[in-house]
Amino acid sequence: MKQKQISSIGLITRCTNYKESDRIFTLISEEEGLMKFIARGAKKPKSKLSGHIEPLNYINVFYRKGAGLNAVSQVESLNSFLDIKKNYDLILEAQYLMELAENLSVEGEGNTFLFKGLISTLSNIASETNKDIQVMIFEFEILRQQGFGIQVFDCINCNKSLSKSDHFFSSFMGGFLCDACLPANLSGGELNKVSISNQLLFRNIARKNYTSILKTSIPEVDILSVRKLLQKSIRDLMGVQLKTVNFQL
Amino acid sequence: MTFNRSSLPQEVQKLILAFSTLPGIGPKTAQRLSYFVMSQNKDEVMNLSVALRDVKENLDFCKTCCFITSENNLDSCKLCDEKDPTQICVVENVIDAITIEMSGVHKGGFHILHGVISPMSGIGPDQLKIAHLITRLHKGNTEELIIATNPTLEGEATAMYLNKLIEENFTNIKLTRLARGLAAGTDLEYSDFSTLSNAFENRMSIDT
Repeated sequence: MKQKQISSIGLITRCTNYKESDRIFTLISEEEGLMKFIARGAKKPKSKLSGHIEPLNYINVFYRKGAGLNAVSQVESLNSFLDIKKNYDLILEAQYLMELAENLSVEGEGNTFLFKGLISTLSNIASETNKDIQVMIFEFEILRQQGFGIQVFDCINCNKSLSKSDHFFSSFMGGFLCDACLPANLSGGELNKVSISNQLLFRNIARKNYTSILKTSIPEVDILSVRKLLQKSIRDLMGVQLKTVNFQL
Repeated sequence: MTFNRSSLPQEVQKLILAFSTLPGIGPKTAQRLSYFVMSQNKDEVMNLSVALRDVKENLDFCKTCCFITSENNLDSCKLCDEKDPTQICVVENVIDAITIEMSGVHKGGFHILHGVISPMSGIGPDQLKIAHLITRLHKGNTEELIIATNPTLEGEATAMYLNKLIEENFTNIKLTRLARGLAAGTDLEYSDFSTLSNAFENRMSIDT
């Protein structure tokens, strides 16, 4: 009996050529999480699927469930993020976001928060001026959602309120250490000194004070150093090693 | 005792393992290919074996265009011979160069990058033959560089990276990109946004 055709909406994160003219691709969808598909004949010039099956395409895919890969019958593009695809730096950023989302997605288990965050961040980096801030907000929120929220108001060790001065950040512990707790760097990991202004940036992200962050002009050096700390936290707290990080910042 | 793959002779197991490293070949196909090889006569198998060995032992990359060439002819290969040195077409891989060459539409030389920038696969500009291209441009009398990477996300990223790099380093080289848009025989109805956008951006006046 012929199987029923079903559809899913999602973002293509990866494509590989297979055999003469087929393409295998990975999609992150809101309901099903990570999904794998095979699009037969998609490499042929006259294929109706060809241009739609590209990384960074937000698509509606019609398919039949297979034992291994789902077989694609039709694809409809919903958003191709053309503004991102015209800018080299934005492509690198989008690839970083897709790899991060891929690593946190599971087959058969949707993550609405992650999916919506990914799509809105991609839309924002294409339209807004400060892409780094948009990505930082996404990284911070993802850490929080995964249960690794960064403690920015109190000391990560003694839970006492942090004074208004420079403090050391531990990506292994996921927060700042007060001066009294510095010797108690339990994880033994690397500590990074963070200025008051950069701590304020962390606090504004934690308070979801996004409009204020986006309105303030923050020096690029500060943004980059906070981004590095967030990327280190993703690596050390969640154990996610991303290849795209080597091509960032 | 149950019979499984590890019960097979070591030689067969090694052959299955070797075939399964090829792209698109899974363990089942590797097994089928191995049994086919075993059923062939000795001469046929030896020919295959010698061909595989020769590819690695006798071939290298051309020092000019990075095309595959025999080790005694590294300075200039068949793809570099009698070509207009003022035009260089940059392609992703050897197959793309052969396809363009066979079409006869390009009279200039080639430069093969041997890949594309793909951060998700851990491939950056340093892993490609980009530094080699820059050295070649410094040495030669190139007037035009035609970037012919595929219109994929990685191909586009590579083209943009090259564009930035060449513009920063060479003011006298004209940089062009292959035209993108609707392919012959396609339907507008099934075209993706990227293709349509390119087709509109690169639209041409109708010459009568």
